[in-house]
Amino acid sequence: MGKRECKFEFDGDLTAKLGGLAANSYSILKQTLYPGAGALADEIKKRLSGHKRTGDLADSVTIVQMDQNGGKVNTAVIFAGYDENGVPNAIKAAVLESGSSKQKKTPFIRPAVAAVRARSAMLMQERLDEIINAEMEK
Amino acid sequence: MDETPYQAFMNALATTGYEFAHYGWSRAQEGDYGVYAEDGSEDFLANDIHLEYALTGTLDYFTRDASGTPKTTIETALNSLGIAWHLNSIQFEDDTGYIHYEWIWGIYGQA
Repeated sequence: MGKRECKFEFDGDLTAKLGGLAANSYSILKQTLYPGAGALADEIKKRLSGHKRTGDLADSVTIVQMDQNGGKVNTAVIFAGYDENGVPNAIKAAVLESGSSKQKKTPFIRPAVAAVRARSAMLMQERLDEIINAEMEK
Repeated sequence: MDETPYQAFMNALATTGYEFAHYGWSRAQEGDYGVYAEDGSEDFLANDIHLEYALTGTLDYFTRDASGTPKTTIETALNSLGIAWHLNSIQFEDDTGYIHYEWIWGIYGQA
């Protein structure tokens, strides 16, 4: 009886490409996060645009620099800086979101997160696929 | 006709004995008071069709009672409904003396 076998083998080129992806994993993850965070920032700005007194607050919406730590990469959408009266924009955003006995609340952060959650995930997946496909086609 | 989950929510608030307004008050409040408001949805979609509906919103209570009784009473009412909710923040207003409790809730069904 002759020897019967099916051999499966990856060539060295594919191994090298996968190695290249692994070596650049932090960079790839950072590029992947940006469209997701960007969608949230855009949605928050859109929801603030209806408030005449909050033009500065919309301008303060910022995606913070990516941070990598212990195999994780993360970023955040924040309200950076202060208004012309020296009030932190983060405090103004919190007051608008939660309200007070003197100011009616106008939730815009939590509804924005809910509105873009699925779209952010989709955008990040698309970006990751683009990066991987581009690497594999080199 | 059976009450909807949202009607049950409003009725549960009424059982607390506290004053609540929908969206807000048209006049300044001196005493303790609450406000509830819808602000979004968490519907389940398939093929771009809304198969299941869920309302989300906020419940705020402003009180100068620091005993915690209003918080307990309101949360007991929320628990009686079996709805999704969490206490999102507790803030103290220096200028008015109010303790501001804020809950986030989600209710199955439509308003």
